[in-house]
Amino acid sequence: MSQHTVIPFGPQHPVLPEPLHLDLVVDDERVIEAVPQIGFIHRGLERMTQTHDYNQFIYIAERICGICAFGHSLGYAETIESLLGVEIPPRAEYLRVILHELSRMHSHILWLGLAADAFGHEALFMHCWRLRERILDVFEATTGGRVILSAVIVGGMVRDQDAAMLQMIKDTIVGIKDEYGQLVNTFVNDSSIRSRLDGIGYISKEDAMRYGMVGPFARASNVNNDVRCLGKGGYGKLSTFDPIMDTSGDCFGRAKVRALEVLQSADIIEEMIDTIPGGEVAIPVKHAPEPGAQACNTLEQPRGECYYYALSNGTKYLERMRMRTPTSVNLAGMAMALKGCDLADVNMIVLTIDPCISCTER
Amino acid sequence: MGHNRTFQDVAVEDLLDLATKLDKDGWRAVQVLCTSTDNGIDLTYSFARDEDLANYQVRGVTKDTQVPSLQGMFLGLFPFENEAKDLFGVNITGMVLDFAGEFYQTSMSEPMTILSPEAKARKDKAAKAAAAKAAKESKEPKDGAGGALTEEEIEAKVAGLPPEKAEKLRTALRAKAQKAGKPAEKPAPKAMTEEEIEAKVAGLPPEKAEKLRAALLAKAKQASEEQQA
Repeated sequence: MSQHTVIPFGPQHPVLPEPLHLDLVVDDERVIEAVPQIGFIHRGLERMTQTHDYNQFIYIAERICGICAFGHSLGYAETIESLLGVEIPPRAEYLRVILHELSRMHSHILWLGLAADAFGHEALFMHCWRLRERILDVFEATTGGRVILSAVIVGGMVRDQDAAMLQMIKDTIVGIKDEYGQLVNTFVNDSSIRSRLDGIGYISKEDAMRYGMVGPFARASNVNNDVRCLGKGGYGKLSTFDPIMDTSGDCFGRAKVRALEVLQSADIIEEMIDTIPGGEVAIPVKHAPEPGAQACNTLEQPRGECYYYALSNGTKYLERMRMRTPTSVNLAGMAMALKGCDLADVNMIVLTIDPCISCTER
Repeated sequence: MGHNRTFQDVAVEDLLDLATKLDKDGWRAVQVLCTSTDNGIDLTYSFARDEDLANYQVRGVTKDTQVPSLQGMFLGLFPFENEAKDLFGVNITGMVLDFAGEFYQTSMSEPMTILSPEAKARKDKAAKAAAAKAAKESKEPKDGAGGALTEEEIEAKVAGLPPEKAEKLRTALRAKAQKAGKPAEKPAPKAMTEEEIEAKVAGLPPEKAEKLRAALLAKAKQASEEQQA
């Protein structure tokens, strides 16, 4: 006779990079329902607009999360530039895209390593993170930081990158591609890995749309919400851009989308470097926005669409700043994907949404 | 480019109908955010479809206002509605996933409605400046005479004051009235002499001195032409 049991998963769990709690209602080994709870690392960062002006707040925005650091500083800066009605120089747009795509590469490779570690393939985890180190070395050489880059300011970029530095970035990307291809081959073709991912945590296209899922989590279920398709900023200068999509809707589909996006990002970086224009990389921005002015912005971060909102009160201190991160909306989809799965597959399903709880809670 | 972004107001009574219509038309929910204002909490609901990003704002929600939950149609909004309840004290009813105020563990209730001392000081300062500006604008004369007080008005103002103070005020008001009666004149620019120009460029590097000398000479020429005019 079956019996329902509630098993707590997290907030401390070996597979979870960040604290997330799930109450798993299980019937023997099968999960009937999963109730998520977050709130363990809420830091009240949005409230810090009261004590930091809009130029200072960018350094808080990029500390929301270590993996998405550059993305948050970029999204925030774009929102304030929209609020102020400021247009940045074209060269700054290209540099922002280059660093943002490098950030996407390092985030996805990090995730692939975590996924490999979760299903017990430690050698693959080590190789992925070794490759990721080369991207962090590029960050350090170009901006001085490995994780928190502080490369973006409202109005452009902190510093320019000369031709030698851009060539170094390109050489590193080309060097990574070959080795990375071998890792992707293992992910996609190894039977033991496929047995842990195929058919696990399936979400249909209709459910993905109904729960408002975003990012690779949604694109694996053939739902395209990729903001890069709208051609904003430097992305509008690309010769072509087609998002990586998959129709399988399971854990393998999500892993495959992220794996292929790394190669796509490498191509984007090469194209940006080849076509980058000259000129300034920043314009001075000192004035306060108009009182009552509001602006919103979206950005395709590695985990999906991120929404930013700013409201001005006429001073240099924002009345309100809001960052809605992709994991916030993907939590509902994750809870639905867990329904009906085996208890042993819970950690893979949770990992495949690429949860970034520090982003979610801020 | 990016999304086509719009902002529009909506009443709290119309929120549920709006959400039903948006769900039927294929929009997806992006987020819900709250802003603390002097008139209550403003809620901003964002929805996206293809290239469009629509923001609907419900203004001035108080603790007595019952805001209907949209989780029935958009389950993905559960983190934001619970956040609104915990951090802003918004009374959202009918939530599918309701954490009953335990979503975030905070040391104070409704922390986003509390102003820091710095923010409060800034706000008070801005309010004072706005009040002073409004008062100044309301006192500014509306007639063509430039607001010049008549002698009777001046006498009315000084009536009842001690004699010394009345005399000072009377003199000041008469001078103001006289000034207000005349249109303001821009003082004529003074033309610099050659000796003054040479004194200014002395000690500078030759190239810089030459540039400055040329500029000052041009300015002096313009000033003397204006004086003659």
